[in-house]
Amino acid sequence: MGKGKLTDEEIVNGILSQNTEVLKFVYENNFKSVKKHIEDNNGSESDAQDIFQDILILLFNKIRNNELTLTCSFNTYLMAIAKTQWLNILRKRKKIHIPISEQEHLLECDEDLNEKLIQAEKERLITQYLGELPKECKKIMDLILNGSNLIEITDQMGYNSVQHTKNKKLKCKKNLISKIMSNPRFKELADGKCKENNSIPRW
Amino acid sequence: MENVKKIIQYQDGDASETDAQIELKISENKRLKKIFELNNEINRISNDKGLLNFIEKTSSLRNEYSENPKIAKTIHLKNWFLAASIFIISGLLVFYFVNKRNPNDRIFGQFYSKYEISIATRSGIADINELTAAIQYYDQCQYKEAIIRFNKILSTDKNNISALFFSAVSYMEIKDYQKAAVNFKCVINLKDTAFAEHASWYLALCYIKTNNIQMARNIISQIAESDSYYRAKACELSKKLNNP
Repeated sequence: MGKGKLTDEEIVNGILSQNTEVLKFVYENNFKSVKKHIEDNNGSESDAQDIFQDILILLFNKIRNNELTLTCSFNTYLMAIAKTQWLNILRKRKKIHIPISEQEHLLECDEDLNEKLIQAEKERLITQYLGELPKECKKIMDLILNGSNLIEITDQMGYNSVQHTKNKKLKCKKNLISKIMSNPRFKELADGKCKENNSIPRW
Repeated sequence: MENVKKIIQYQDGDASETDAQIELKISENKRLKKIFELNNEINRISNDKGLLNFIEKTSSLRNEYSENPKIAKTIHLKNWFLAASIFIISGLLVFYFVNKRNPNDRIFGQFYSKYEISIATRSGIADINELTAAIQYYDQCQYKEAIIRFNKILSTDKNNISALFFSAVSYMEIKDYQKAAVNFKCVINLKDTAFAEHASWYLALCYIKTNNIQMARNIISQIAESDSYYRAKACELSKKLNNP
């Protein structure tokens, strides 16, 4: 892939294939303006980083579910989502009315955008906490995800019994849930819409 | 906590109770429903390797772009001399200004430290109220966010002493000493001994920072004559103010 300008199609394909060069290109061409917009409107660099990453997660999910239809350039679309998301956060924080800007109209047809942004933010936060799990919990989780059964995990972890493995797994899960639910931002997100989910993969 | 355990076991296929019993509990209790949904999300995300990889990748890029602006990465070799020169000149300027620094700033730097707090949450799943959430932002050094939250509390409860005190320290952390002083004065006027002595100390520091030395001296001498936690520090500070 060349270092020059990428077409929107190349960007979309690059996000889907998680191409690092493309992701860097997206950061280099958009992060600065998103950051400026947020900092000019009572936000911090950290807010900008969160929002930018959430948008990339949202785009990744949309692209792989064939839900992304660009009616404007990629950069304009990304900026419009960033502005929408920042308005959502400002409204929540300050409960003030901010009129809808021109760019927000670009997203009018995407009714479930807000829900997807909430989903993306939740996914980022949960992944962050998964990454912070203690070593032992991470190892148990990896073994479960790789298809090991409880007997194999007991053996690999050097535990005395399957019951002990079950207890450890439960303890890891309880701690993880407790930590996530203690996060004030996650609490705000969880207080939003509740979604039904019947198909449950397990670890 | 027992119910949380049962929900996890139920969702992970290790339940001892019948599905109907657990489902009834979930449907009747809002908090259990949230835990149920969160556990679902955790299971779903943990199993989605594509998503996990993507988030990890963007997390590392995020760090790269926050700590090392692209200029640092793309700088050409021929510009190294220029960069080095700028670095040396900047160093000399910093050295010059540090040594030329206002003596009050130096004293402030010697005596100011953030008021630390340890957040006590109940074991297990904690219900977080507005104040705890605000203090968590304070504890995580996200002062602007913390101030927004404290002000929200103060808009409905203007005498909330914790919100007044911690918002004042947050203002100090973002170098808005005027606003900090206003809130510290409110705390002192509320005459809550637990916070008042801390507020007096920090108010004196705000005055030092804003060059109201006489006001600072008045407070410091009161603290030095009291049995305040800050008494020893106040004596030392008083000497420094008299002989900067």
